[in-house]
Amino acid sequence: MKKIVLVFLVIVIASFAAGTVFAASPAAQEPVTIRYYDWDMVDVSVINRFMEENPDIKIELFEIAANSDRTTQLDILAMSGDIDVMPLADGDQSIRSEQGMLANLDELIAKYNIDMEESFGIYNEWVKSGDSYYSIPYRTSKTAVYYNKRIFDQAGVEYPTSDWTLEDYKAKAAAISEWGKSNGGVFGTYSHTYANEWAILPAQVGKWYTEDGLSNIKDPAWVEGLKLRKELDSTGLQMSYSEIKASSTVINSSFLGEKEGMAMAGSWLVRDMKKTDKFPFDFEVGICSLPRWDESVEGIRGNYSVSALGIPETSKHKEEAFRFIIWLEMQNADAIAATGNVPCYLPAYNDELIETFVKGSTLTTEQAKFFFDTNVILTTNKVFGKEGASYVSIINEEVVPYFYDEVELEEVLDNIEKRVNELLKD
Amino acid sequence: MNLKSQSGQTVKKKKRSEILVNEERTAYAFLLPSLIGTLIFVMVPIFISLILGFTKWNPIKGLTDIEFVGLANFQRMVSDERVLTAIVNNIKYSIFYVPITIGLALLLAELLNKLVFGKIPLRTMIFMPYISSLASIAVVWMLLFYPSASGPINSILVNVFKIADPPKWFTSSKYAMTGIIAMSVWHDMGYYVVIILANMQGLSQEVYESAAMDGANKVQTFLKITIPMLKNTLFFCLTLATINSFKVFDQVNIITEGGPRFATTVLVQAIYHYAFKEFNFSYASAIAVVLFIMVFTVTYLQRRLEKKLSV
Repeated sequence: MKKIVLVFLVIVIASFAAGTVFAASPAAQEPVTIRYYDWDMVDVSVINRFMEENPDIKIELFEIAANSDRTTQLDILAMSGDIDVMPLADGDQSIRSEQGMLANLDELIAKYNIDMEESFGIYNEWVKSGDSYYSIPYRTSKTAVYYNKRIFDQAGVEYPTSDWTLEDYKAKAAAISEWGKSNGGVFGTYSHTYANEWAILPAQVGKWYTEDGLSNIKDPAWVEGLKLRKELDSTGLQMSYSEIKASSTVINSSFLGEKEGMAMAGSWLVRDMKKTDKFPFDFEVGICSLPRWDESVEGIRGNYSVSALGIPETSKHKEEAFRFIIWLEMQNADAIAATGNVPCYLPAYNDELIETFVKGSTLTTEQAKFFFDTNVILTTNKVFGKEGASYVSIINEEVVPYFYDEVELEEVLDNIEKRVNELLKD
Repeated sequence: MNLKSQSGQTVKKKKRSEILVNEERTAYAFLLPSLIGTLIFVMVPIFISLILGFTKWNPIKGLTDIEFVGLANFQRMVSDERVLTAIVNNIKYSIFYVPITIGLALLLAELLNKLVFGKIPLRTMIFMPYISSLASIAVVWMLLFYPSASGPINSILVNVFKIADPPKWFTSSKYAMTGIIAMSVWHDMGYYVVIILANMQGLSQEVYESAAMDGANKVQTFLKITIPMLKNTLFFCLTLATINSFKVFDQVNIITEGGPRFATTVLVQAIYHYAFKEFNFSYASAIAVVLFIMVFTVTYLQRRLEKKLSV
């Protein structure tokens, strides 16, 4: 009996040992699972192709709603270690890298010999904290003025040209608004209520910080920018700030629904123009660069922001996540462009990419070249610098009563300056 | 003394107490899962939150990064405009929301109690807002109270009541909180109507008959008989409504996001802002401690008052 038990034990132990060795061998190892969340996914065939080429990595995709709660959802996932590839939009990356949420990618960039400057150029500014990289530029949104050619023709207004100024912009908006009074209440133009949206044009000349590193909100450019927004609202040239907030109006449905002759919007509008089931429209759309703030501003002007892909510090598979991000961005710029987004990977820019970008949107390749033209002088309405994200948040809180006609501009500027400087001095 | 019957009674008493003990154990056994759940998911987080209020902590860096800072977070609140405004807004909200909601619920319950026909469909209609999604209701109310003269409510004010400059409601610092209170009252009233009505229907009819024989009119009956007899129920509803009023968040977050500026910022909104926009979980926890103290104090005072009035 004892012999039988002994033999049985030996067999069991041997089988466990064999199983452990088998499990540890690379051929039998389970692929590492990378969880990737995003609100604007590339086609799933792209992901499948990555997994075929990289059998040691399995990608699980999770689509999240593109609403204001998405950043909170992503942050909770990042803090709990449930996400490996994290999308960061329009400057969200800076506060997250400052807080230590994102992994430092310098070592991985060096290991995989990525030339960030050649690959991503000016977009790198959005993913660095100090001299280190904390995410990889993914998509860029370039702001342009989209205009409804049918409304312009009916109102008898000439199309904008690339050398137009702010005065030309206001004059065209006024002319269309005047025509619109007896034609369905069409507005001349539209500017949304996103944080710092009012600062798109004055960003061509304005500076957010003084030389001492304090708030420069009283820069004449910002003052005039705030007054401009108020003026366009109060003269009826665009839907007012309060009405947009109250009705939860969005640019895509408003402009494509022919509520205004022009709209200042990012290149993401091209993505929505492709979704004709959601946003049906039957007019010809024109694209023009932003009007120059004044005659002192030269060149063709645009505004931009950058979304990035980062790896949370809590991720247990940083290298695999990095391999996926780099593969996605550097070898699949066409797949990104196909979603109607402008990829950040510069070496991929060519006419074929632009064609893919506009396909299905009614825009021509020639029109869309604006979004890929590296000669366009880009500025940004976001704040880069110390406590940039908080700076924007404070501005966004303080300007609202001004746009609602409740406080004077001086009070708003004083409040912003005081609150931001307290933060900067801390 | 009959020893035989005494020992028989002792045996019976022992058996009865054993039965009671067994019944108690069974009761606790059934309660245990719920108690464990409450302990793990409610009490422990509350306790941790209380402790975090006295620390400086970045959750991204894990538990090793916790630094005890004493009352620094609370000292910061003293000069934090957002938090101070939130406290005032919460108090204002409660002062108006609680009595209006309970008062209207009581009146509606009394009216429903007197109805002979249509009681059930009316009760259903009154309760329906409570079971509707707050997000959907918020969107509808935002459209109803559209700020321009073309909005439904404002067009009535302009065309019927000849008000030249109607309020901008949710886009106005002056009226935004009023709109939120109105929406909350409309949404929550049905819940309290059902509670009060159920208790009202259980009141003794003999008392009412006696009152009628003594010549009491409807108002006197309502004030001197119905309300005193519903005292316990009303206090329960008042306590519940008060606690809920301090926890208000959803409608504020959806409609105004605490704005314009801090006009509708409430404490839970402030906690959300500092936790998820600024990643300052310690400070947010400290604000949660303040909220806890406020709710606890008010609830305690209400209980004291209830006991005093019961004597």
